[in-house]
Amino acid sequence: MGIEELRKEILKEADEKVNRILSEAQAKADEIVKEAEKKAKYVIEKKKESALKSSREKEKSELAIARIEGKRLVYEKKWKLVDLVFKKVVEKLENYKSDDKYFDETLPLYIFNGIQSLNSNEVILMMNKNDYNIVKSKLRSIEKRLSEKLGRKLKLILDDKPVRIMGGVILSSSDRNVFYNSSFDAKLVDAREKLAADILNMLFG
Amino acid sequence: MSLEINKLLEIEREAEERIKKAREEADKIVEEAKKKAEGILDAAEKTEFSEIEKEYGDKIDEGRAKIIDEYRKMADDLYSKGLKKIEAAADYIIKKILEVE
Repeated sequence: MGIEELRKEILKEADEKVNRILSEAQAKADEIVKEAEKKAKYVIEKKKESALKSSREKEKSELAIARIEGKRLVYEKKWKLVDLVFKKVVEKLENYKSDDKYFDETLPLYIFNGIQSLNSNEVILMMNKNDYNIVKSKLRSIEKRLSEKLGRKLKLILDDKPVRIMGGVILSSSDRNVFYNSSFDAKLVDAREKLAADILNMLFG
Repeated sequence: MSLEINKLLEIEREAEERIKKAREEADKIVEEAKKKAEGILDAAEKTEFSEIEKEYGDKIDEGRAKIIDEYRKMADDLYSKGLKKIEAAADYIIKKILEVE
């Protein structure tokens, strides 16, 4: 074999090797990119899933908050009406205080119940200034009526220091150790607590 | 003879040079592929789904407005219904307070 032929042969082998190296490199490069694209697709899918999941969760919680707010609106309206009811009650009680029945029936009844609760024959009565002035003249007659009703001698002492109540009476034992609050104010608070369910039922039931 | 050996050595060097260049070229191809792969992954990491957020944002606004509206209507209905019964409810409380029943 001549030198020129040998040269061709050697360079042919070298070129074959070159082609092999380059095609292997290209295959490796293609694989790297393919792998990256696969991974990227996975990452995007996961990110999409996550975006959907958090959006759904946000929707769920936002709508739950909206429902709570909605219920609050209903609740506020209901209590606004309950407030109106009590406003009306106060108005009616104010009117009732100028009715004879207030002095002849209601106050004696409150006193009677108070005496029974305190279980005492001698009680102190505390009232507002207006009621005090009127009850003062009726005290002995009330005392007599209640004594007869209870079947024992009672002594009603009208405290000459008026209390700041809307109406009704506060009773205390003669030693002022035990009290029985039968004022309108206390009864209104009590009614609000105890009758709320009844009132709501009456209004919206 | 020595001339032929020198010629052969020269040919061998040329062949090696071609192979060396091919290896360098191969390294470059792989490096570029790695950079491209890195770019693809970076882009994937940076992908945002604002259209999903917007879609759900609109859905939330719409749902929220609907719910509030329903409850507001319910509250108004209850209010007007209850308003008519205020007098009766007040009388009921008065009776309890005056201890007439």
